[in-house]
Amino acid sequence: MKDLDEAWEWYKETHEQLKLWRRILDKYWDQLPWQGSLERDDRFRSLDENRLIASSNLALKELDDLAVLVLFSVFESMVRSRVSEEVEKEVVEKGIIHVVLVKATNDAIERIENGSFYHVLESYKSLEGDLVEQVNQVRKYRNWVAHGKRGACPSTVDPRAAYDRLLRLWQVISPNSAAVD
Amino acid sequence: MSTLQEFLKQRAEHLSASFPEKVKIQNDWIQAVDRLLNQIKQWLKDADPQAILDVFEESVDRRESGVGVYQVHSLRIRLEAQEVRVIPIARNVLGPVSSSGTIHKGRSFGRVDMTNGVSKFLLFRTDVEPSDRWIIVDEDAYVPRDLDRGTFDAAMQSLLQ
Repeated sequence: MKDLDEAWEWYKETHEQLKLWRRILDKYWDQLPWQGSLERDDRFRSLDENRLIASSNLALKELDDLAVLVLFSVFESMVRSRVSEEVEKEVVEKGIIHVVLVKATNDAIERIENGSFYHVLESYKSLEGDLVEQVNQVRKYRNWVAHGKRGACPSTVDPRAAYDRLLRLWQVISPNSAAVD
Repeated sequence: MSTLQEFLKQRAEHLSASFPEKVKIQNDWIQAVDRLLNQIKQWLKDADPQAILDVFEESVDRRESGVGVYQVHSLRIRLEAQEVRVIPIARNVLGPVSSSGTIHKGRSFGRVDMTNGVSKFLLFRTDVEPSDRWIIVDEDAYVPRDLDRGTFDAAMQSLLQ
């Protein structure tokens, strides 16, 4: 997924599909035309309704946390890429040639691309301190999810709240991006 | 390098310093959830004079940074095979937010989810002074509304249908 909107669409669509499937299981399973094509289909005739309900419950239960993880990963990738491009562009435009400055710039680009993302975000605190802090909270929750939810849970965040925060900071970092719908 | 004994001593000092605050936050949150669940049980009772709903109270374990390890009540509401759970998620919560600008809270003082396993309503405790204020957010539409009998009834009905 290349941007936040795409990641958000993925989450919404996946969520909706799982919910529709669960609704079919809950409400319409017995009304499906089992006699005919369905009973001849190896994939369908051995399905166990209760097992499917349990499976879809499990999928839905974990989907929100997975969505926060995905949204933040996409955001991180977008920010690193954009900031790195901007710094490189500025170096070219300003015609920096002093070896010390060139080395410092290369080091900075290396840190932007591969270093701590926390430090990349910190640079934007002077512009949007509160928002950066809110995004840092999403980052902490993402890390907790990504590391197997071990240890105490940091402040909890739902996908919509995560998307909103990440999108708002992205609009600060990249002002030409699309507006919140 | 510190020994295990020194490490544990430092942690003990830190824990004893933060303990009273954590206990205060925990108790406040547990009591807030109890008040909410009592209100919900009352609304259910009022809506169900035929007493066809089964309502069970349970406990869930929670482990949160800055709050500690605690047990808090939850509800399980059954109408035949349909089941709705009212389950506390966390005391420390980011949000809710609405990009439409209706509400934009950086933080809440707790979140309780009301779900049938498929659909979900998020209950955010957005204020604690002078008393608790809860708002209810349908996770799909994400339109926040004050939690009252009307919004609760509508949400519960949609979950039980």
